[in-house]
Amino acid sequence: MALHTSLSALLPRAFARMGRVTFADAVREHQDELYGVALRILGDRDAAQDATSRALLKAFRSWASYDQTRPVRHWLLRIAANEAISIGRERTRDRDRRTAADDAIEMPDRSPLPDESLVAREERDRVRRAVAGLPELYRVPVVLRYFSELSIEEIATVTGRPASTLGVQLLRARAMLRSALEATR
Amino acid sequence: MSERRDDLLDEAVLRRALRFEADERVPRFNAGAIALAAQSRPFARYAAAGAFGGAAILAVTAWGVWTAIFAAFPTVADAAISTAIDAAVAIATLLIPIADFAAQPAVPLSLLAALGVAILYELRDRREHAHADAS
Repeated sequence: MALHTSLSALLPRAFARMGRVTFADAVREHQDELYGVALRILGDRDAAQDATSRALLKAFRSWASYDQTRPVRHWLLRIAANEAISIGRERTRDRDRRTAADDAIEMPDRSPLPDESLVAREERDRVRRAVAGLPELYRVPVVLRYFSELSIEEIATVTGRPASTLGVQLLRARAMLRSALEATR
Repeated sequence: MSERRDDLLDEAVLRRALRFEADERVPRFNAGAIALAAQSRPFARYAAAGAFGGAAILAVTAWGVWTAIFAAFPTVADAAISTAIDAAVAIATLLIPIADFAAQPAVPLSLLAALGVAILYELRDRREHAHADAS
């Protein structure tokens, strides 16, 4: 197994010719989304990078046993979301550090912006802060729905929750977000 | 579903806020590096298996040595057993007051159990951090 997965990672072209999705291909294709999901769940770049690395490491170890008839995207998203949740729980023990919400609004580009962009950015940051403040139960489906653009059925596949429950959770999450945003106005 | 439509945050607003913007840097993950990192783990497994095997061999050897000593020098073996029993009695004598203390109604067992769990949790946490730092 280790030989196959490592070869597929190191020799992606050879494995691609055999008609199999290689680990390297999967990483290349989905890494941005996996990192994005982790970032929106955690609200912190370092933690998101850590979660993505751990998720990819886990995926690599399970690559040989993964059923390739199922969408690799959903499988990877499930691992990444679980890792993000796990890291998020670990981080709640270290609340002394900067809050996740503060990290969520940190941007690398500090160049001055036109007023319109500034307003849009502030609004975006407020929404991200509100999402980062959602309980984990609601945050994960919100990120999968509105960042990854998954359908309710796809989110059900990723999270293992019933689709009907997810529908209610998404509605409640949007109501909570609306209240949170109005409270900060 | 008791939420009215007016009470919900607009989906388009959520999508706009959560999507990646041009000014957001996304790190690159290298599949080859992940493969190499994953391969470094089996060494720990081999080390654990080696340690277990070594312990088993040591136990068998110790048992053989003990049997030989017992056969060759029965009096020495008797003395060793007596010493071991005395040591066990001495340890039990020390432990009984501690057990009595734990049995006191003023010291809830749940508190001691919680202390034990907290210590185990902290040890595990440190091990994970050390592992994460190393990987």
